[in-house]
Amino acid sequence: MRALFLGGVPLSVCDSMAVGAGAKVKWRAVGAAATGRKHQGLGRQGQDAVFARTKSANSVVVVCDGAGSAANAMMGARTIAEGVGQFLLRRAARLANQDATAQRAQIAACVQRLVSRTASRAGIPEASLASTLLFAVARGRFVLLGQVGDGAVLVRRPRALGWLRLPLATRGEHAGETVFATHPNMGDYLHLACLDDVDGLMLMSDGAESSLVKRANGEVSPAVAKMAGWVRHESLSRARKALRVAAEQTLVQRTLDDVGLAVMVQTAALPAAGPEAGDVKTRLGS
Amino acid sequence: MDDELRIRFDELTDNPSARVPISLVLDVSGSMEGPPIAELNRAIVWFMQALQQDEIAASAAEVNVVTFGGHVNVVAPFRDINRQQISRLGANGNTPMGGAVITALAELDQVKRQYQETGTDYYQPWLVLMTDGAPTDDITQAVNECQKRVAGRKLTVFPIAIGHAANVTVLSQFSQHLPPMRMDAVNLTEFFSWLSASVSQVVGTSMPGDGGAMDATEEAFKNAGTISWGRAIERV
Repeated sequence: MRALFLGGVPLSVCDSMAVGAGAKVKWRAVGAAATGRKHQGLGRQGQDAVFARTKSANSVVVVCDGAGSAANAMMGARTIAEGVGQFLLRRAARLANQDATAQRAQIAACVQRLVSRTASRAGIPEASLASTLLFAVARGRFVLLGQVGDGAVLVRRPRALGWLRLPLATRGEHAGETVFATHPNMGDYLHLACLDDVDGLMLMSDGAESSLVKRANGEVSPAVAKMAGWVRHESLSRARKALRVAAEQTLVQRTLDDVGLAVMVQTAALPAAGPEAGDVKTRLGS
Repeated sequence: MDDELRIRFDELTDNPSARVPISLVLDVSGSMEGPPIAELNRAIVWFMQALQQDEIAASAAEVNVVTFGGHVNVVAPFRDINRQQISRLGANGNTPMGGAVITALAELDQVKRQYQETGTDYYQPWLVLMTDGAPTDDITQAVNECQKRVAGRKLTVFPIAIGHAANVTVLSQFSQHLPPMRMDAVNLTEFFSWLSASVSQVVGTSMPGDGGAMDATEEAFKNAGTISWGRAIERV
């Protein structure tokens, strides 16, 4: 175990995912994406894509923000969100028992396969699919977080007072300058954090971040706890609808950018499996 | 839907919108007297109005004006577009272009520091350099500073030659990858229309931070004269 210090507060960081094996902890995952006002004005679809799904003991959330400068960014964001999401759902148990080097290699290889195959099939350059990537996979107490590019990852610790932003983002000096998952050496830019003492997390594109995190000091807005509360306490359908309405009607009003966010919270005892407990489908900007 | 399942605006963070700082470095030397300075004044008014009327541009653009004619003058410091006041420019004196560019770069550095202190995101700054002649001061330091920043993708320089007496060889030294555009003064309004539209284009557009790609605005400027804003505009 080693420590990741965040604003002077140590978070416990696991070196392997073995902590999750056999744990009774379960998670819920919900995501939403909305087309920003700039794209609405141009009559275009949003370029943020979100994946949120729970399957047996594994929960996964992914948020991708297509690069405005890339010709096929929407396709890239959707492809990477869905493909990485499915990969993590399938491989969570294996990833849980691997070290960071192996985790990084597998995830980078997955992204490169997805990008290469999509570009080849469509006859387009790989770089035209440029998109950022944020993901989290949870299995028991274990959580693996990853980020390539900008956007934000927030976590909440049990018994802690509030939410903290993890320093995983890669940004240039200027707005909009970042690294994308289509980078040929994407693995070098993949920031990973393996945590075993969080009970909630939220991933967001930079558009959502501008409404939820104060840039000057990293302060997290009260809306984050409220949205996490929906996912923890409401039925999945109500939480899903509330998050979509928040993204489409409120968050987009504070930014010109597209908005994509996904919430995953721990819950000790999930309701019995039923229609509500099923998977949350990938949500895409529309 | 219940109120508990809605986010109120007061529950959100209010970050300042990302800014595009634009420095207009304008030749107001004696040779601009008459129709050229009148066209330049008209174009600046047009530019400010175009920015104000575009919701995206109005929230992002911050413009300052540095003139060189006899001496260097910061006519208008960086300010929010809706509060910016630019007085009418007159023309006289020689052409201290080097000093004006150095002053503009210092103003850009200062506004960037203000952005950083207030947690305001900003896009790569633009410097529009317009002249109808040739410098009468030493431009070595100004050229070196511009080239260093352009190479490091810290600045985009748009060099504009007004009329046929403008020295494009000198102008071309300020920007390695954007060659100067030559235009008649009557075309300045078209250029500024294109520039204001480009602000909206660049805002919200993410791009690789490794300097590997030219942004869409620079690409459009390179192709200008054929696709964007050129009638009597000549690629030099």
